[in-house]
Amino acid sequence: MARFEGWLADGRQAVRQKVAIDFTDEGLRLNRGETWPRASITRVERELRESAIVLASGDARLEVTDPDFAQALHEAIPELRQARRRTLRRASIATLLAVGIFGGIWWSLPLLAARIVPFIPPEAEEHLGDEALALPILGKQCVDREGQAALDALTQRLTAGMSLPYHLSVTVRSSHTVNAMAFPGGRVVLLEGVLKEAQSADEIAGILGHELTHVLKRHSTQALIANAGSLVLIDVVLGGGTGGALLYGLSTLSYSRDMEAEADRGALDLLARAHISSEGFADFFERLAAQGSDTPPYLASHPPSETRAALAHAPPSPRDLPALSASQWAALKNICKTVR
Amino acid sequence: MSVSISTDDRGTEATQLSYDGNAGELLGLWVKIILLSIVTLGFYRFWGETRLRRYFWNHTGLMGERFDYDGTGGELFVHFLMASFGLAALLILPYAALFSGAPLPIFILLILLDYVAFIFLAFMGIYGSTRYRVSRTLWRGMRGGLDGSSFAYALRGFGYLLLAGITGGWSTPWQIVGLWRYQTNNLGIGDWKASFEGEGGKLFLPFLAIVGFSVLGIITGVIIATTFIGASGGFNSLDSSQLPPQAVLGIVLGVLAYFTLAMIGWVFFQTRQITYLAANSHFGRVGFSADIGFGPLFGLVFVNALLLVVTLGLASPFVRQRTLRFACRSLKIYRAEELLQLTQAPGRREKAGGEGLVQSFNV
Repeated sequence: MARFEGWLADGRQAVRQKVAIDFTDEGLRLNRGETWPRASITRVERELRESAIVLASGDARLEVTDPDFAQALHEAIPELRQARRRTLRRASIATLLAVGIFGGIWWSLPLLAARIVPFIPPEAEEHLGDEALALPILGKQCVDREGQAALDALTQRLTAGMSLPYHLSVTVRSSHTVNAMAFPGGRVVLLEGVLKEAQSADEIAGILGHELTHVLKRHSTQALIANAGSLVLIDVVLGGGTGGALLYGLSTLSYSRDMEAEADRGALDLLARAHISSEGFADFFERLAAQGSDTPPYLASHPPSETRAALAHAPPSPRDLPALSASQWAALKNICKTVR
Repeated sequence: MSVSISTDDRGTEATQLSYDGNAGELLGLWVKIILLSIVTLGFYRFWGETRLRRYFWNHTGLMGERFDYDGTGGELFVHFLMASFGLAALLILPYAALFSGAPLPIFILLILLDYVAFIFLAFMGIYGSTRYRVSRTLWRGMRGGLDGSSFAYALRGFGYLLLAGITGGWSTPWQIVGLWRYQTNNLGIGDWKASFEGEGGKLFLPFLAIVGFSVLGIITGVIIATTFIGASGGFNSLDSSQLPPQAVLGIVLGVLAYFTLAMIGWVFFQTRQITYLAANSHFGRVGFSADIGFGPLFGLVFVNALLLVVTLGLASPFVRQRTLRFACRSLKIYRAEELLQLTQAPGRREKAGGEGLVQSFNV
């Protein structure tokens, strides 16, 4: 077999020397002396156009520029090229696996979150909800006794005979924003704005039913877990900014469209069980939607669902009774005359 | 080994690093990396970064010998995963505490502590990243290494940051020199260690240029803005939509004037800083100098910034190449032939940790 010339840096000293290279059965023999065993030889990858081949054995490096060397090397030590192919094959499999696993987790996150929820103690959620209630943007607590009694009566009627996951707390806050929200741990808050906007107790009953369904289904915890999970995934895949994205995601917690639709269906269910007409619920949305240009906060945070469109045409039942008596409704509307 | 550094470097003949990469080749590689990254949902980027580094290292030469980089994409990926999960744990901690009954003040305290931890980890990441890259660098089969601990570096970095807070930034020269000293004195290749003998005070005068030009920039900016606003008849209301166009132009020009002057001061300081650090760093008897002119460095920084802004960061490999080529042209190496005496120091590769944290922070 042909003999080649190369430059050797022996890995012990920073000097280069010219060497003669022979292929032998054991591997490479340098200057008819030292032998590099086949198994110890690897190719040094270089991101260069030029055709020099660099081989390594331990810390030693051997550089050969002879264009015929590549062919001779392949014939003498074919496993070097096979190693390259093996790497490529492994990389392709790893890529497919990674894409599959991450895609799978992404797709199943909501389900996964729902499975995790039962393991979170309700007390922990109640605590978290209480902390959320301390947020100043909600305004002051409205604590008029008659108003609260009316609200409690409505809540009782909607949840009669149901087993609740938490110690429920439904309260009104003095913010004039037209919105209502369900915080973790069964902390439901109606803002005074939504009471002012509503024209009947039936409307409030529908809104309350929607929020109560979020509570019954433990949506807040589920959303918290799913949101956090998806943000972690995004960060792992795209890299960068792990911190900001996760913090942002947790602070702007929102329910998914599926959850909103489920809450709309749940509200209809609760209304039907309590024999309250769903027409008020429908009226409320139609009036908000008709307000035009600026999307009201309630619609922004409660995206319309198909259920909601269908509910506008729900037939009234002869057994329906008003959600609250006229005096109860008046008391509820004025609940913020005493604040704390 | 003990070496006395008494000879004047300028008298001896200088060797330079060569760089023979070009934009066309780099573009081809970069396009390949981007396409593969898209196909793999971004996972390829670690292997892509490795190929980019190999490109830069392999095209850099010293005394006719190219540098080798033998880090792998797999290493970067594993370190990135570890760092990501570590960071996620830190981020979730305050929320976990809140969930398990901690009051709101504790929660806020934990979030603040998280930020402190992030800064500290960022310093650790910077040092770990340097260590990783140095330990994957070979020249003539001799491997580089960075001793010292990331923790000790981070402690110093954090200390200097506090000092900067107390002194209103006036301690910056000492911060730069202090961190450079720690890193350089721990740097080695083969069995040789680098050394740095210098002090922060020597950079204080050049540092005044930054302060001076910034103050000049503020004054100039305010004068320009008020002149324009005065000519436009002043504000009638604070509503930004009713500002006269002339006033808006004045504010924009004022801000531009400030940034231009501040950048002039900063670049001037950089030239002095680089020159000083190079001249006082040694590697055995091998010495360095880097006499960088204001014009060339300003051109480099300005064009690099423009490239990054215009391409939204996509041009970063080209910016890196421009910077590397500039460094190779600027750095002069004295008595480089002494490098032939280098012998290998074992165990360098194994000691190097990862640089995952830095990836996470995009530093």
